[in-house]
Amino acid sequence: MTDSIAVEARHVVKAFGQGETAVRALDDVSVNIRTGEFFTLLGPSGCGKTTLLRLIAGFEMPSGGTILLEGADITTLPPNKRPVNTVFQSYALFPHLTVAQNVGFGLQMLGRPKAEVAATTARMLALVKLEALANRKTSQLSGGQQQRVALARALAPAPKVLLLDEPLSALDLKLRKEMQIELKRLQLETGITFIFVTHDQEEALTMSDRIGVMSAGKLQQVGTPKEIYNNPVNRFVASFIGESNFLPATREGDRYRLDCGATLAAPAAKSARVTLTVRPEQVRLAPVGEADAIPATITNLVYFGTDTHCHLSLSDGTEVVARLQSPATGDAGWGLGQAVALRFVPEAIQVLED
Amino acid sequence: MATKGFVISRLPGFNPIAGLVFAGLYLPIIILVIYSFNAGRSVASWEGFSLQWYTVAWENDAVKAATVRSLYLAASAAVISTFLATLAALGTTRRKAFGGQTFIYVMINQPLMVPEVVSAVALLIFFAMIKQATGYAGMGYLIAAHSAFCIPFAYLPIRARLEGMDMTLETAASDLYASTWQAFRFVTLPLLLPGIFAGMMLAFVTSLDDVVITVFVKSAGQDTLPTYMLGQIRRQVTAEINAISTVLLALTVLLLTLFVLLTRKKD
Repeated sequence: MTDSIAVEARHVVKAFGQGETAVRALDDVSVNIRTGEFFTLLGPSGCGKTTLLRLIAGFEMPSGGTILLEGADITTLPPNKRPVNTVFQSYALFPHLTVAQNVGFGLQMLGRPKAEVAATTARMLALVKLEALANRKTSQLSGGQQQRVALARALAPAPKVLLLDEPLSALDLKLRKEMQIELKRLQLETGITFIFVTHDQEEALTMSDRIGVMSAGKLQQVGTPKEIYNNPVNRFVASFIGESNFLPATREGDRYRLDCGATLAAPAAKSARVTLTVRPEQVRLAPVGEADAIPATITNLVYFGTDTHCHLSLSDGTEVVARLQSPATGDAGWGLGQAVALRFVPEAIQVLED
Repeated sequence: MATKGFVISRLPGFNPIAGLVFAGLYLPIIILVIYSFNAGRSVASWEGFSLQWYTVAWENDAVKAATVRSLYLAASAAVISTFLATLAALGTTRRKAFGGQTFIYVMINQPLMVPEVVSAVALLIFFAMIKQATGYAGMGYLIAAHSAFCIPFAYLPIRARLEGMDMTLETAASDLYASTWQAFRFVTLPLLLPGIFAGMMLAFVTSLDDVVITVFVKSAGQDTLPTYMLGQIRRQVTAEINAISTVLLALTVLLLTLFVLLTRKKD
């Protein structure tokens, strides 16, 4: 992977509607997407991730800001003049054409010689393992097969960037897992920059080189899956990516006092009033009486197979969830209503100043 | 005994009423068809099977001329109205919703709303003015009038087809380097063709069948098949009329069957 920039968005704004009723789908978004990386735009529906994708594809024009492709300004170019292709959520395969004609469509529109179109189509069909179905109508294909045709069709013209708009959301769980691996393989084999839009955080964490988390038209955080998961910059990112415990606390010197009275050590902060976050798998339980632990009561135990979610209540009523690995034999010996001592792995505590 | 749910076809009197309705719809037509094969002159008393009225109609030069004129008129009107209806359908569906959209729909479908006789009188007066100014008295007036009232019949199936079409397909085409024209030519048009053919057939049948506007607009010697038949019935009623009607019916049924086949949803 090189460090050159494939797509750059500079202060991009997109407003729908006019005057006072205008909605800012994108509110001053700037991001650099590197050449050859698998970049995911992650966020809840309505956060603006698909709008950003459509702006890069050229289906919409931004209300403000600039979009660059490999350094060249493409902000006002129509979609057919951009070397960028899209895999649509609905696949949007042409129902009157065969699988092979669908895959060859882009090259045909570009006016490439017939022999080249045929050769590239065959190569793309082989890439997505659909050689046998070349002459079928797309309506005769299963959802997973249609997905592969859509991928082959978008990859055939060898775009500089491939845009994927929630392409896996229509597939069932098993097929989705297969396609995740397949997508990653295709990306590595072709070396094309992928920009992938999803609301599924697990999909984002497993596939991406980097993730951009979006909410309310703003880019909240950009980073590798590990950075996003371990060092969320705000409460939204911490709660959207995985589960988190949120503990209001007051700074006292270099320690923090929780509202239940217990104090603990955590990285320094500027504000006096902060929120500490800890992932449920970083919460440890111990018998009562252990020093430097927070007293809590078990309110619920939910068994998940590989682990058990233990819901705890602190003395001031704050809820904390601990994810405990299920032991090999028997149960861990915790019971409802039991008083326990709670500890956080110190390095796992994040301080949010909000 | 288990109680059954409400089934409308089990209500008392369902079958007799349904039978009566279908008899009312089809009995006159069936009788018309049967008597077209009558050996006698009468359209009321059966005198044996014969194809003589078909022969008589076939050899009647006035019928031949009227048939040719009707087909020529219907074909012209169908092509012109379908072309205009396609443009109208594209214009009203391939854009963002706009204020006054419903008004435009009503305007396009005006011939369905305004009583036909009003349009007929209006056209008569309007064309008389043009005739006086230009001296032209050809088939142009009939073609123009038929094209106009056929537009909604062509427009509705085309618009239905466009509305049922996923707009993402056109977006996908432009994403795959198709210009606006190429996207229309290689994606929209092929998908729209069944709708266009269906609209054209409906327009053709509507034009073929028209009496009111034709009677008002036509000049001397411009009888179409329906106006010729109307004229004949005023003089004498023979089974020749039945024979012509039966052929017209067969043609219409054929075209409407094609229409149904074309507009039927696949998969």
